[in-house]
Amino acid sequence: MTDRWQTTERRLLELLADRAVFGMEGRERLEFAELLEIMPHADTECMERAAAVVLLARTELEPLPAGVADRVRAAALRHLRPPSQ
Amino acid sequence: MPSTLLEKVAGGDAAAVDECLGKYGGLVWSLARRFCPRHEDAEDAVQEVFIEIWRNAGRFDAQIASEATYITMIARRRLIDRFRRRKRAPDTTPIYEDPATSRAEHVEQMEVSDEVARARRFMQELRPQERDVLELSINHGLSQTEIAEATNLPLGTVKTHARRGLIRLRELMGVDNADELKEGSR
Repeated sequence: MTDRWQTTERRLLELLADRAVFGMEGRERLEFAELLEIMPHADTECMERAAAVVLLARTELEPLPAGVADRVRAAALRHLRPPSQ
Repeated sequence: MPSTLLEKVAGGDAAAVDECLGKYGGLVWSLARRFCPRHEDAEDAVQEVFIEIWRNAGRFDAQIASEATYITMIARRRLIDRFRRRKRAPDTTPIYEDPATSRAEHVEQMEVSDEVARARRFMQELRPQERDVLELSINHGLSQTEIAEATNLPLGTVKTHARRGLIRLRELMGVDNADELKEGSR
């Protein structure tokens, strides 16, 4: 792996971290788009997953109320695609 | 052949939807309650989040994240969208209601509890300032400027701590997933 590639990857991770925490500004968005052209197969959700860990660490689990579960279940049946034959 | 719950959901397995609700309903509800102080808003948010989960179930990759992490990521994305639409700060104080929980739900939630414990271990691996900045931003909804004011750190330093903290968490998650895969192959 070349230094240039590592620098590009590092910068992409920084911008992904910015997007996951504070959001990106116009100039950063342009740079981000340019870097993605160089690394089109980059894992663009990796920092969102890391941010999810921060949220998960502070989660105090409560049970889902039964009435809400029923509503979600009914909505799910409308959205699920039928199993393939 | 689908092996994870989300893969089964993606394949249209209605029973997997019930299983998913039993296993992750409490997690999504708890997250929604933190972003939506009003009970009715939280109910709508949970429904929106689960629709997003069903839509994205096929993209889940067990090699790179746990289901709980993936579901939390989707929930956060959707809840932030709602929060921005409403321009209200998330209330991060857990609101404890204690409706009866069945034994099956309890056992399923224990697995999610393990994921929460793992996330807490990862957070302890960060430098204190990285952890503080990420906590203030992600769990308390503070902007970069607000964090700089609250911590007396320069704006650029706040961003640097957030970046380093997330990059470190990503590394820790990678190591952990690799370990799990090794154990799974034994």
